[in-house]
Parts: sequence; C-alpha cells; structure tokens
Amino acid sequence: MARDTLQYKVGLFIVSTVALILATAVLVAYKKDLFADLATYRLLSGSGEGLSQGMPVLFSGFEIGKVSALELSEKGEVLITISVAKKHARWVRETSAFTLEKPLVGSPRIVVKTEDPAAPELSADKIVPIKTIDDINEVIKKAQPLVERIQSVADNVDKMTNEGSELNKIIADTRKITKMLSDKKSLLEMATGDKKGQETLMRTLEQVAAITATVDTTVKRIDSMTAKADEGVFGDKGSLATVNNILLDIEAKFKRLDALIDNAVTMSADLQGTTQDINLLRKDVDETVSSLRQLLQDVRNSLPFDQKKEIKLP
Amino acid sequence: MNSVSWVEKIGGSALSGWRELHQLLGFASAVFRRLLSPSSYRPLTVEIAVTQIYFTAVQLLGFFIVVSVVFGSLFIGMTLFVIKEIGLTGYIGDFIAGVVVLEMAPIMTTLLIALRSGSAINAEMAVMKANRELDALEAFGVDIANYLFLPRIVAVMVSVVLLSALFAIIVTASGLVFSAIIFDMGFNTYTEIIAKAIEYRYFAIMVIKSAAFGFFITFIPLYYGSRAGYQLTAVPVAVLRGMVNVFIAIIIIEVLSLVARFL
Repeated sequence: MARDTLQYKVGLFIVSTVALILATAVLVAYKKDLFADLATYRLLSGSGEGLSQGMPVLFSGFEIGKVSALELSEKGEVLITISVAKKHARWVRETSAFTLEKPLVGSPRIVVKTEDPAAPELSADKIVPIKTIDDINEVIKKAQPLVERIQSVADNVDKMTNEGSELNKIIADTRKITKMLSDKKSLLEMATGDKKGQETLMRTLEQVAAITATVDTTVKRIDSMTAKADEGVFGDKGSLATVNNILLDIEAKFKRLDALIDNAVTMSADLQGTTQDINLLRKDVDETVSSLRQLLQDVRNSLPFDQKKEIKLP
Repeated sequence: MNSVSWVEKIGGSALSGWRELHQLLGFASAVFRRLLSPSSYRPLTVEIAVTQIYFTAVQLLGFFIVVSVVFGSLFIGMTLFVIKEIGLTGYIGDFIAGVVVLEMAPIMTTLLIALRSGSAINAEMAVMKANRELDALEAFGVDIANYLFLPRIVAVMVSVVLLSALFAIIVTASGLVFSAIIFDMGFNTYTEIIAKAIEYRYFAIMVIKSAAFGFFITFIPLYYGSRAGYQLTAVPVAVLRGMVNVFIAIIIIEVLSLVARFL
C-alpha cells in the first residue's frame, strides 16, 4: 500500500472522528444551554441539607435550569441561586411554587410548579421560600411505629427467653417429661408411675374389650328383632295395616251411628212434645180428681154415708 | 521442614511478583515520561505511529462499527425496555450517559483492540527478541523505547480514545431509535435528556480512561514481548503472560476509574 494512501486514510479517520466528537460536544453544550442567555432567581431554604451546586431544576419532569450558587444569609438561612435558560423563563412566574424533592431513588432536585402561566414573571430580586419533600424521612417516619413494634416483640422474646422465664420453665418441664418418657416403657407407666397399675389398667381394658364384644352381639340381636318387629308392625300384613282396616271399619260404623243418633234426637224431640201433652192431660185429670174429691167431700159432708178410708181413683 | 519450604516458596513468589511489578511500573513510568517529552517525537516516530493507527483503528473500523451498532442496539434496546418496566423512565439520560459513555464504550473498545492489536504487538516483540533484532538495534545505538515502544503506544492510545468516542456516539444514536419505538420519544426530547445527563467532566473522564487503557494494553505486551527468551518457543509464553497481564490491567483501571468517579 502506498504510504500516501495509508496516511490519507489515517488522516481522514482522525479528522472525521474528531469532527464527529466535536459536533457531539457542541450539540451537548447547546442542549445544556451553554450558549443560551440565563435568567437567575433566588430561593430561600431553612437548611442546606440535600442542596448542592449543579443540582437540576425541573419543570414538568424536564430540566430547565440548575442551582448555580449556594450561600448563607445573615439570618443563617440558605440562599439558593438558580439559573434558568431564558427560553424556559416563562415557566417561572410570581405564583410558582418551588419544592426541594429528595426521592428514595435518584438524586435530589428542585421542582417548579406553575399553576398560572399568565401571572407576572418572577423578579430576579425577589427571594422565594422553598418547601422540602423528603421521601426518605417520610419513609422513616412511617417505619418508626413498625420498628417500635418490632423492638417490643424483640423485648418480649428476650423476656420469654430469659433465665427463669416461663418459657424456660416449660422447656425444662418438657425435658423432664421427655426424660421420663425415654426411661419408661410407655406413657401409661409414666402417667401411673407404677408398673402394676399399668398392668391392672391393661387387664381392665381387655375386660372392657370383651364387654364391648358382648354388647356388640346383643345389639346385633336387638337389631334383628327390631327388623322382625318392623315387618310385623309395618309390613303388608302387619299389625298397623290391620289396625288401619279396623279404624276404617269403625269410621264407617260411626257414620251409621251418627245417623241413628240423629234419628234418636228427632224421636226424643217428638217424645218431649208427647210428654208435655201427657203432663197437660195429667194436670187436667188432677184438677178433675181434685174437683171430684172436693165434690165427694161436699157430698160426705152433706150426706151421712159410711166413710171408707180408701178412696178409689176413677 | 516441608511446611517451611512451602512457606519459603510463597514468600519467594511474592517477592518475585513484587520485583516484577516494581520493574514494570518503573519502566512504564520511564516510557510515560518519554511520551510527554516533545523531543521524543521524531519524523520516523510519527510515521510508525501513523502506520500503527492504520493497523489498529482504520483497518478495524468497518468491523468496529458493525459491532457497535449490533451490540449497542441490543444493549440499549433491552435496557430501555427494562427501564420502562420498572418505571425509571426519568433516568434514561443518566443511564446512557453514565453506563454507555463512561463505562461500556471504553471497555468494549479496549477489549477489541487488546484482542486484535495487543496480542499482535506482543507476538511481534517476542519474535524480534527471538530473532535478536532487538539486540541488533541496541548494538547500533537505536533507542528501542523511542523507536519501538513510543509510536505504538501513542497510536493505540489515540485509536482507543477515538474509537471509544465513536462507540459512545453510535450507541447513543441507536438509543434514539429505541427510545422512539419504546417511549415514543422525539429527536429533540431524546437529545435534550441525554445532553442534560452528560456532565462536562464526563468527556475528560472518558478521554483519560481510554488513554490509560490504550497505554497499558500496548505497554504490557511490548514489555513482556521484549523480555521473552531467545527461543521461538518463548514467543507463545510471552504472548500468554502479556495478555493475561493486559486483562488484569484492564480490570484494575476499571476499578480505579469507578472509585475515582464515585469518591
């Protein structure tokens, strides 16, 4: 390869790459408002914590300026000077609110909020107080009760695990029980504390098992009897069916009896009428007899006949 | 007895390593001083440097641009997608400026050049040593540092700085395409976000870091190549030692740059 060609290629590479780098650098500088006219505003903060020179100033999430200077005022407050490119100055008005945001993720920034873009432009001489939103401190504040609760739980656990604590006593007792268990052949022996007692209990249990078997057999028999009784009572030819037939028969007979009673009632009513007539007749007869007696008495009194003691009725 | 000799071996290795490091850094310091001295740059030095830039950067340019576009686009695309998923859209600029410009561009460029040119320079020096060319040059009173070391180091330093910047520009530009697709972001908004996130010191950091990478990925292969034995079998050994130490140097510079950036 000819030397001139090689040098030409290298020269072209260096010049074009450097030109590209310079163009990029100029573009970055332009976009960073290096060549733009800047407007400066002054803000006031009670503390310089979280503030630094070069900190971005954002409007609607876009960087419109930077913190250009920080200084202490006579009263010990922090005076913040921000530089905003003139083209973005329209977003900084008299009514704008400035907030120092310290997010959990990312670096702190000053955020400008302008409710009324038509308000007059913020004067460079005016000093505007800045609010602070500290996400980290907010989180710490919210987490504080939780931390206290965890501390309390930890204290309780500490108390529980202290020497002489109830938990330790329980653990010691459990150890004793475990040891006893490992020494004895069974739980039963440990509970009674006596090997004979365990044997007696075992025998009793065996007897209970035998009794249970007997009871089981008896229950089976009763079951069988109950089944037969069921058939005898509730079956097609059972007592219940017969009783049912009898009841139906009785019901039919009752119906007939009702008719007879009705007739009897009617007859009784008739008889009552007849009885009344007989009473009237008897009354007439009585009155007639009485009149006759009175007549006979009058006759006896008038005529001397032998008096007979017995009076015969007509 | 055995344990004592074992401890002696460790001590001997540590001392030998320390002596070698001391010698390497001492030599690097001497070469760096020459680098800053205008009297070191003679027409022949410049001519060799130009040739080296041609082999290191110009010949690589096509492949380098393809790698930058493919790798950069994939990386930016995936990262912007993740940024959107986790709701950190406000930090696109910080991410591209901080990760792509300051970290990824220099290290990717350095790795590519170290693999391609660093190993070639290492082998070239080792072969020259095996062929006693270095001895011959010394016998004729030629300053090896000025004639062999300086032009190559300058050439690789210039190449790494320029290619790193080119890589950063290409990847940032491909970020424009992906931000338009993923966030529906226009050219003005994207460039404004990136520009606001880039600090002026980033340019200086990137240039210094790339230059440091360029210096060491050339100096170390030259150093180990020139210290190779006189047998041809010593060539691969010298290349191996040189490239392993280049890799260690890259890691150390990266760590130091991160420490310097966040301190």
